[in-house]
Amino acid sequence: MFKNIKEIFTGAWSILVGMFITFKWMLKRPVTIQYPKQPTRPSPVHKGRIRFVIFPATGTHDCIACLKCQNICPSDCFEIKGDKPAEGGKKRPNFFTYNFSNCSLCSLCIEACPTKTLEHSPEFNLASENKDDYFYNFLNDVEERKKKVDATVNR
Amino acid sequence: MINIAIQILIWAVGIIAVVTVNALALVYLERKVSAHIQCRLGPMQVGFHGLLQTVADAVKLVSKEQIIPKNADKVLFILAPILAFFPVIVLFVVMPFAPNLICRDLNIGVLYVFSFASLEVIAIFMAGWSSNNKYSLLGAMRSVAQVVSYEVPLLLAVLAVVLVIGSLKMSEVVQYQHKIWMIFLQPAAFLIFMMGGLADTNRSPFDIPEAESELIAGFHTEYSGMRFALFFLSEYSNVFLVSCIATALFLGGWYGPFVNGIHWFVIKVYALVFVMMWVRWTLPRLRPDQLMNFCWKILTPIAILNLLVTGVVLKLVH
Repeated sequence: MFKNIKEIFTGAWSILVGMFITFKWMLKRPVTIQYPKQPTRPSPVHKGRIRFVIFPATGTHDCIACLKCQNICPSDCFEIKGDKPAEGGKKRPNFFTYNFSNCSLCSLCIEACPTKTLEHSPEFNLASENKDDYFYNFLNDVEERKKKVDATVNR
Repeated sequence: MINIAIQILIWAVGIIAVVTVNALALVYLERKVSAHIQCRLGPMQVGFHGLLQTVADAVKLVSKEQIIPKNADKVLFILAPILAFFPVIVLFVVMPFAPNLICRDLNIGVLYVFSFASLEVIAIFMAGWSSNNKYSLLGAMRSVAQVVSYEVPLLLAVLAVVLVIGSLKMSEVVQYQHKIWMIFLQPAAFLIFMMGGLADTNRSPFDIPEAESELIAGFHTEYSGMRFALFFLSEYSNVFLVSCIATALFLGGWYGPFVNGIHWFVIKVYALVFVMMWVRWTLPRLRPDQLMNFCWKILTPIAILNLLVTGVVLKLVH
């Protein structure tokens, strides 16, 4: 009898504690946001599509068209052609496409790259209705990104 | 004669308007309270902070097709939502909103309230039985067992209050509390009343009749369109009505600090509604056997003890 009464009171107390906790959480800021209206940033370890690194020292990528990424890629995403420039120096790519719709984001190309010029992009909203949008021409892509960087620097 | 007819017409239109607008407001409030307790934002898109969300939902429900299952009992199936909505409107007749704002101040107001409130369970069982669906029937059976059981401690708690006041008239019940609210004289009765009220309106933690995780939606699984909306409307109006009755019986109705009037009644009712929502989003659902044990082994003995003590004390005082 006494045990039962004690159980009722401890139960009632635990309900009060629970109510207090939910009230406390109700007054906190919501963790969700209105996504398409409010911009958001992906996690710092987010793995988006593959892209060229733009090195600040040279202001461009450092691809030497060694085809290591093309060879190691399990899904055959890359198509690369490269030549030695007429004025001499390192071999440079003159054609570099990447097929994101085949890519499994395994990061093998990034590990294989001898000049460390490949990375995951932080972009995340890449959905498209058109299959051709997933073929990225890295050389054009790099030029566009350089322009954007210049615009932000000059502003 | 004409005067009375106009009066009745105004009351009828007023009650229906209050029921509808109030249900829309309560659905919005429920969604916002649940969202903020779970650290979400809730409806934000339709209107300022989603204020028109429930209006949009209502428009959607009205424009939907009304499906009647092939093997359903058609007459009962159509009658059930109407019967569920009927007590809601009828109960507003004796609600003491303010000294001069009672539609009919019946001598047997309290008795009238609880006799019509228990009609709800018949509508729920009609809905569950006529749907010819195992989930509906299970939900309806649980609902009948639960509501009939919880009416015992609820009425015993109200009986203690009536014993103190000595009247069943709603206005006299409120006027008795102009010095001290009944909750301070009968705290145990108030707690029992609120628990019984939660169970009677099929709300969490006593919502096994519509337990979503096991019964889909319980007794209204097969309903769609406006018929579903009527069940929804009556559910939220019942929440409002239980808070109204609790305010009139325990929290001193229209009495409050500074100016007495309808605003105190409304504030108290919405505070109780908020507490009911708060409880819903805090506590998990009870198992059916726990629910029955809680009613018959804990609430009913306490209610009887409370009634006994009240009777003895009143006999000693007089």
